[in-house]
Amino acid sequence: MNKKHLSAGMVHTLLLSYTLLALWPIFLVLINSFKTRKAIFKDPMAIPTVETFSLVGFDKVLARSSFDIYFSNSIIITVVTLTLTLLIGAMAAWALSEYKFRGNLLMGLYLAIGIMVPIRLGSVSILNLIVELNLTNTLTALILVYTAQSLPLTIFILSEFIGQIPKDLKEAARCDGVSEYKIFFEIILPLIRPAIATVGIFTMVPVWNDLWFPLILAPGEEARTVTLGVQQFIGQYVTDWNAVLASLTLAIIPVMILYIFFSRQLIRGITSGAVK
Amino acid sequence: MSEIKLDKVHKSFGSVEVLHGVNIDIKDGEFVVFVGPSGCGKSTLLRLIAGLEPITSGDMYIGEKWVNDLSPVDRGIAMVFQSYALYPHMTVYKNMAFGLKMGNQGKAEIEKRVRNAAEILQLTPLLARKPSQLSGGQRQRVAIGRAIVRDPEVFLFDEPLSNLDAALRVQTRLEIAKLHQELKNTVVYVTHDQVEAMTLADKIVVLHDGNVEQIGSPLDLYNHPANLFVAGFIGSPKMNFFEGRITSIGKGQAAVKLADGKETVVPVEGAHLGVGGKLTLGIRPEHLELEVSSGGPVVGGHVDVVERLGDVSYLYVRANGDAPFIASLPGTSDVQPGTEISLGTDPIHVHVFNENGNAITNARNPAL
Amino acid sequence: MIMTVSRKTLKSFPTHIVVFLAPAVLIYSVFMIYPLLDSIRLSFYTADQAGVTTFSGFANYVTIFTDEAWSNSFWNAFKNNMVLFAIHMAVQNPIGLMLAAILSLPRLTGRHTYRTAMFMPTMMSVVIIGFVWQLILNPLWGVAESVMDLVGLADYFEPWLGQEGTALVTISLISVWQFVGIPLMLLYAALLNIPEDLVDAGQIDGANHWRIFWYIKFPMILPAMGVVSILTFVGNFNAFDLIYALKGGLAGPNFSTDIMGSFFYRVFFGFQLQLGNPTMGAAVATLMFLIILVGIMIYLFGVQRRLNRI
Repeated sequence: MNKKHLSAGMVHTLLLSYTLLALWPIFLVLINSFKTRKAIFKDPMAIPTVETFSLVGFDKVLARSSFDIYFSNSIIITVVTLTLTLLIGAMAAWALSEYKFRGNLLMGLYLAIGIMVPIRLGSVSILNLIVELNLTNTLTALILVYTAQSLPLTIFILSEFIGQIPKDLKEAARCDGVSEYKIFFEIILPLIRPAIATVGIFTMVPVWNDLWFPLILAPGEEARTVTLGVQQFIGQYVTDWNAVLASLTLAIIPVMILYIFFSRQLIRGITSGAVK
Repeated sequence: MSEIKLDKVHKSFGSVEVLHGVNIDIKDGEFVVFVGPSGCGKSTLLRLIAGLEPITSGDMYIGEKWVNDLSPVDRGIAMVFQSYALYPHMTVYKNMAFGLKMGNQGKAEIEKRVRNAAEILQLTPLLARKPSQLSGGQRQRVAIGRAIVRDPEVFLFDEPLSNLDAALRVQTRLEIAKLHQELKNTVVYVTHDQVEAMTLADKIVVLHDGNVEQIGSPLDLYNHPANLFVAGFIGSPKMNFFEGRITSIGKGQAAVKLADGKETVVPVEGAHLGVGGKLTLGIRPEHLELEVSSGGPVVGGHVDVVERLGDVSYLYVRANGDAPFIASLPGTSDVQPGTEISLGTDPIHVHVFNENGNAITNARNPAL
Repeated sequence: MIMTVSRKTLKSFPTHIVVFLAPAVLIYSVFMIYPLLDSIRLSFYTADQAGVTTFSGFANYVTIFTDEAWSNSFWNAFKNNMVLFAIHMAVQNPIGLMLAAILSLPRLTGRHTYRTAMFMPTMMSVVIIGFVWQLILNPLWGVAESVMDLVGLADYFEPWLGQEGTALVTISLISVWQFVGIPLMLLYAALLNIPEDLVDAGQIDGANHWRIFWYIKFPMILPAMGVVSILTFVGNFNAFDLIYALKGGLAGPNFSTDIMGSFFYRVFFGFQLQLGNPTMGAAVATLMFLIILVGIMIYLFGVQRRLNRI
């Protein structure tokens, strides 16, 4: 009993130190991006004050690169990929878990390959394919590849979830003569909304953060994503600390806000055993 | 010696107090059952005795020892969990040996004790299996075996039969009773099932909302429920209650006007009562009979449903102007649903409760 | 291939199943399975200056393993990748386990906040995290040095990212820092799934917290440890972004941070003076595929099967 109380202080010390270690680097970049160059170097740990406050880094980033385009590219890619993946993923998951057709198990295994085998390994042929389809430097190319990449895990998680929906609901609808399409769109889709949220975040994060495919399939300025944009920008202006810190901050803030918004859902999704 | 004494034990979770000063004395070798509806605090009380939760205030003794601050293992107890709590990655043998191993017993001693317990519980052929390969009843026996090997002074059982099917439950109940007769340890047993309580216990503790309502032998509780809660909780089907007002008080009796307007005389000491005061009469279904000659209260109404179980028939009666009640008649009753009926009872079977719900002595038979 | 299979069974097949499955199967097959297979096929071809490919059997593989320059590069990348994996297994997963064990303690206040904070880096882009640490470790800025000064270790500071002997370990640790969240969450979930009764039973059996963890909880989360290990393995042998962001395609200094992912990129795309060679790249990708496959097989048939015998 007393052992439990004895360690309470130690437990919190440990957790707090690790939390600090996890957040401090990000925090450091955020605060310094709002400081003058002099202040960045003089006292990196200080929070910007009235004297040291400066937005010069952001001005430079916005002037020298098309961050607005990068952002809209990343947002379009992520949102379209997400919508496409969730919709057709849920459809496939429903088919796999609901109908006992010939080859069901085989189809399930086929679709599961992509959970473990990274799609990057097919990059050589993906590039050939995209070139042939005339899709280089387009958002469409990235959306298609990311959708293919996200589908396996989405289907896997959603079929587990759909499998838990009580049979009676569907049977009742069938007895009323509702078509299979209507059952899916009007009964099943609304029911799996909580799972869709979790899967959505799992899909979104790797897509938003990816460097590989933008680098290979769409390195051009007009289809550039935020991640690639930041990488290229920093490569170019590596010595301009204000600009580098500002570009990092621009990339961090949206993800951070989104994360704080959805963290509960995401963590609940992970801990409820959605992924095994 | 392993008597258990709880003295003004309180337990709070945060700002919520779940046990409000519990006093219980348990004698060495006694089989005590904590019974009550879910949420009454009976499992919490058991966990306090086990040492799995600290007591908020009060004192607890096991044997002569003051155990408030002792860890479970130092209290000389063993516990059987509702879910059995068998370690899924260990074999039956290892499950039973784990506590001994933690207690740094020698290999030979562990082996001897486990084999011995396995023998008693007929688990010997199963020793090499994992819990997932056992049936519910077998798991239950392993859970009990794990408790036995440690040769505890006190056994704690937390609703051990609730995960078994009806047939197995009766059988295991008998086995536990037999085991207690053999081992003669003190047992504290928690259940919400009053049949288990009535059949197993030497002594029953009825808990309700974190308070002890009554402590007594099973028949004590049946014959002399201390209050409306115990009266309603012990016995199946449950006791019928009829509310009334006192119209006059005589020596050793009071006249009561029931809700249907009929007057009846109940034999109570009237000292604390006043004319116009409310009383509740309690009559067990099995004490109601079709003959109304006995001079006691008469209740009547419209028969809604008749259930005939062969040895007994239950009549569900919609009373005249009062709550519905049940009568339990022996054999196959020929009363038909839809008829009007009057039922009576001997005055000695009438339980009388005052306005606060506490029983007042029946003057005709104070020793009842 | 897919088309013929579905056409044959189409007749006996209710249309709605086809409609539900077709979009997903189509996109997945065209943009994932076909490229993976085609990439393996390409690895048996060589391309001339004009880009015309001809079948050449195992020539690419022979080159990779026998040509000294190629085989040195390959084995260097493989060895570095193993080091990366070893550091993740030895540092990331134990720390994740420890934090998960602490976070799953009963009645811990602030659990949500800790979880949210500790998982934050995992959500960020590897590129961004890489740059953040590059700045922090940059001797010009001196942040790392002054932090070390707080605990009196300033003298031990070195520009770890830039030195051949320390760059790989440093990058591995940055990656560990970022991805601790994954074992943390998966093991935390596994620990939460252990029924509380078992812990109570352990206490009754006289085990202290430490022993309850090692004798009861740890064996029960071994399957989750297995999952974490295979995820780490696949993730590490597929890694690229961090190296590219911090060290570019040359994975310097002197290829000391070159791993399979960056090696593949350089072979496939070329870098600076070196020309890209898609079919050779396909051969490297196929080798990576085999490495990952071996890992998965060891997991499926060695580790998981034994664990599932519980």
